[in-house]
Amino acid sequence: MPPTAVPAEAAVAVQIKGGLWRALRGNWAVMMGGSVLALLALIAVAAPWLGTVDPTLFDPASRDLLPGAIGEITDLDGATIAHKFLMGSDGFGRDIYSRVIYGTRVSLIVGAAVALVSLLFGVSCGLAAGYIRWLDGVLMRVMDGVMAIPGILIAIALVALWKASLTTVIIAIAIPEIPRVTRLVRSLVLSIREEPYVEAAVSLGTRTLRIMFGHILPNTMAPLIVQGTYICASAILIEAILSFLGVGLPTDVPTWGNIMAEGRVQFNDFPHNVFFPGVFLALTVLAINMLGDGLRDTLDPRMSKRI
Amino acid sequence: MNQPVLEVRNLTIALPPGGDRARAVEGVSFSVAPHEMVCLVGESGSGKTVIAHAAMGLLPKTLKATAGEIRLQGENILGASEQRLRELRCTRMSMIFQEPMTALNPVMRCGEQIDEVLRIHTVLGPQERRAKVLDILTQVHLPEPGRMLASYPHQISGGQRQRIMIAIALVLDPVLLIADEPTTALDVTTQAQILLLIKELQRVHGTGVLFITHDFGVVAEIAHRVAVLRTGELVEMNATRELLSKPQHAYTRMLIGSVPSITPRHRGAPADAPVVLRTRALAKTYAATGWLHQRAAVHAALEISLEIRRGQTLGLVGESGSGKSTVARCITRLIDPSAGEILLGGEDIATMPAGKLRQLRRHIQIVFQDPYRSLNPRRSVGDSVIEGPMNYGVSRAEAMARAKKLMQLVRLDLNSLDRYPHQFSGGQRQRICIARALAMEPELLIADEAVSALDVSVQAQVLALLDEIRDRLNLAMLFITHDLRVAAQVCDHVAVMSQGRVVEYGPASSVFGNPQHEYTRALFAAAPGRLWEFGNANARPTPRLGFPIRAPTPI
Amino acid sequence: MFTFLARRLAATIPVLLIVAVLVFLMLRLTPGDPAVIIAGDAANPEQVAQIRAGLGLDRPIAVQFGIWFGKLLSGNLGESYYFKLTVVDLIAHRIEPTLALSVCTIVLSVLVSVPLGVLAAWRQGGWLDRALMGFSVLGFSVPVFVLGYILIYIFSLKLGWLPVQGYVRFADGFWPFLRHLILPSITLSVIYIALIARVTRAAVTETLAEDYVRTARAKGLPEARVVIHHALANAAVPIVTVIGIGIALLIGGVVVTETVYAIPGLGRLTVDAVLARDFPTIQGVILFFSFAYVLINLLVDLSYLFFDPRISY
Repeated sequence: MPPTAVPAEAAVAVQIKGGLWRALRGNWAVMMGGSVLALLALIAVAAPWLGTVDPTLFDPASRDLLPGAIGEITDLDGATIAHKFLMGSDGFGRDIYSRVIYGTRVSLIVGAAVALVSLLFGVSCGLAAGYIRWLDGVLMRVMDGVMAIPGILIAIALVALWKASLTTVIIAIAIPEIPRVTRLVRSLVLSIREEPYVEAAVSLGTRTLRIMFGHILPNTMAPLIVQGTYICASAILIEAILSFLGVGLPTDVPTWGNIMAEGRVQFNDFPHNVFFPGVFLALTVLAINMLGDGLRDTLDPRMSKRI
Repeated sequence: MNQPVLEVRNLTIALPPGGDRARAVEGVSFSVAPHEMVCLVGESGSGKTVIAHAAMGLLPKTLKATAGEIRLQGENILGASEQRLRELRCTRMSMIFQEPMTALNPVMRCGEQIDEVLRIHTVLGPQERRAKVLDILTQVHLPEPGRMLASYPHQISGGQRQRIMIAIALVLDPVLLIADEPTTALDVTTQAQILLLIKELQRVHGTGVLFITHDFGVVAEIAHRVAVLRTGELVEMNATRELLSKPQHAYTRMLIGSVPSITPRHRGAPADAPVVLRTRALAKTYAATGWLHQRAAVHAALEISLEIRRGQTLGLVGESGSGKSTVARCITRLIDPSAGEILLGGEDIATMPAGKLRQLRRHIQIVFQDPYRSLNPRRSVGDSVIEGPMNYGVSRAEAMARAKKLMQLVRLDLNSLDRYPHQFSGGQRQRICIARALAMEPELLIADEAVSALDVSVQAQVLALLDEIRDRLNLAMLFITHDLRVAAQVCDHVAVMSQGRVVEYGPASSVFGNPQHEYTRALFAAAPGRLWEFGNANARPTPRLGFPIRAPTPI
Repeated sequence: MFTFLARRLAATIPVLLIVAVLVFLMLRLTPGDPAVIIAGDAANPEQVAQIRAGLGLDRPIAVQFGIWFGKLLSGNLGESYYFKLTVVDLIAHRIEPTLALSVCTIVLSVLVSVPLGVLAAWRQGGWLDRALMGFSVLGFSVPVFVLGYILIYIFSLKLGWLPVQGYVRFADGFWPFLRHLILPSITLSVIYIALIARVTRAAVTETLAEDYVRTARAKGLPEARVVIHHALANAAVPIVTVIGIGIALLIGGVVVTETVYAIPGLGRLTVDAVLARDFPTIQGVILFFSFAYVLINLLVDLSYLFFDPRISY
């Protein structure tokens, strides 16, 4: 009895037939998440022109203003200017709105960088583990060890023990993500190697490297892209948690986590310190997760069973 | 007694929009009487499975019956409520499916799966249920019924699992049994036993059986009446003998004509053609593994000594697990043999290191079984076909020219080269794979169950193509199959394998005409429809065969 | 069965060893001299050297590891610089709140997420399915502490139903103990529920499409029996697996939740130790959490024997 076409083929078919863009445009989650993300990226880039002031500026006279209040702020030259505090001010008299807008930059950079770093290392290790038999055992044991330690503990420990800077935060958050990517790539490599078309390539005399990059890697792109978006979302969350706990980026760098960390002592009386950055954070992560879900449904429907 | 058990009248079932046709089933009418075995025959996409599911009320919500009716002993099935359908299932109508491994719940004991039926549909107490279950297990000839009760599906064989399925279906003595390709996934010998069992149970219980199949051999073996379906329409229906010997419709004639005959053809190939490939005592053993769990050494292949000559086809015939695929993969060095020699034109490639081997790989090419996984879905057909030659320094332009010639050879459009695999059917994909293999200009072409996944009419075309190619290019071919008819049609010499060893080896005419080994004889005795001569537009009962036929023994 | 157990145990030991090595390296390879940090700003070079010798920091790193590991095996995790207690005592004292919170969360999450996931899969595409998927994405997106503050704001500050923060020991009264755990458990379980519900839905959707479910329906079994005894029973392995793996998320969440709700458990201890650069405590807590995680997943592996009869040696 002839088997029916593999379901994943339908996804490839759509991509090749109508073009990748058309397939993506048709997916609601991709459009929704993607547009919000694009908007946030725009905000991040255009931060200085969106009615903000330098996020480190403060004025003791403008402490704890409620959202919408007008107060004064001392700029870098010492001059005092009137300024509408759209999202209120914090305990030091800093404009929350400006800090939140500039915080977008940090979060997006951290998210993207962590995703790229962990994908890069994960793919290399995964390919190596899938193809070099003796390396596989050793590498996977080490990865198991890293995965045994809850990721956030690794991140907290590393950031606390190194000097807290953007680079260290990125590396500290990326390290726990690498084993998962390695596992994914390794299992993909092992399963694709069993496919008849790869065996055919072997008997056609194709060299191993060319098989790896010509046959195997292209068929792993889709799950990797989806995984990358999930890592990005997770990284932004973890950065916020690190800042909230006091082990993230230094307090003069405006990140959403920092704003919330500093604002939490006054939460009972002035909840706006926590809410505004919190909403931005949730929205960003939500948009990226939706984008990831949408990409997964479009590019690789089989993955929705694996999650 | 005169009311039909199942009556289908003018049944029409619509497909969801966007498919290749509007209706899965179009105006089909037939009936099944008690004590009668009716076969629904057709190729893939003919709608036979849809009809079977409709009769049980198991159609997915996307398929709607738009016209006609189905009556079970006069009761309307299409209009019945879900509750009523549940009451009828297993009590008055039952169904058995194709893949016994996946059709049984893997985490539930077999006895429990039969007992479930009794628990839901009857008010019998535990003792009475157990007695009934043991009784039905005996009726389906399962040894040690007590042990069967307690085992899980993965602990028993494929044939035994299908018997469990039959037990589940017949424990409450329904009037209708629908069998959807129940033997397709089984070995030839097991298939023969199951067919015999179904016939026997029908005799005992008086059940009307609707048997779905694509195999005319099975039809010849068991059916009282046959209905032929094509793309949702019933083109012909008649008593088996009449339909097979005097088919009326052109499509039926084409189908019957596509079934390969079981008598080998005499091609008169020269016996002194040069030997292209020879194996000596080839063996592949999978060592015992693990330091805490014991898995005994598995001898996938032992003492395999074969030779394949230019312009000839050697058939490797055997059931699943016989080791034939292992031999093929050893020869192509996709796996490494444990012992023995593989002599390609004098050089032993069995232990050759990868670097040196690469130069010789071009001489042996292989076509695999699954056409849907043999081509990289993200590469165009042209890129797949030229990959091989380009690995050996052929320029892209020259490789493309070669590819174009090959497309013509395999009877595909030239613009196929720019298209992608998903745009082709199974048979077309196999042609592409053949073209890809031939692009290397090999001396030996291996077809590893290359036609097993294809419809019978498509299979006939691909077999004819392979024949033509072999003659035109004077290739040597190694043809691996479990289907005796296919082997009879294409092979000059045949090696029969069982449990890793070659049990019989010789020219096709002698192996088929006068088999010596007991296993070979059992294999032939089990071939369904062996008493019918196919291969022409109408089938004829075969003349008396030259060896005694012993009925296959149950396991 | 015992060979299976032995084999899984044997596979776990290298992992635990590697965890120990990683934890050791993590803290030893940091920039900055632990001896200097402990000695403080006012110390002179001799005092620093003394502390360094006392900590064994002048020996080669492999020897240091040997010493440290030896102490570890005998149950000595060192003494906290900051709290002036042995690390083991410290952990023992702080473990109850974390345990209570975790158990509450796990029970709550599994009881809520598995039925929801099953229902969503059964009625795929229906309103429950869509609502669940939406909730799941939200659950992954809203950070634990933001959720915590929102809940505190609504239920403690505005409505006054539940206490704002803090923890009451079990020995001091069952009802107050429970009351103080309700909001933290709900906060922590949201992400866990999102994860388990998602995987349950995916797993059950997959098993509902399998042939044996079609057979079960062809037997005329009632739908509830089909979904539970045939579909869910076969989806048990991936669901239980994710419950085990999700513990890592839970541990991360515990650290944050205890901070938000001022619960004096191991999570809070981790943060305090990190802020104070208290190496022995950091090491001890990370080791404890990791070993617990590995052990829980070992239990999950063993449970496969119960759920899937095909796994046996």
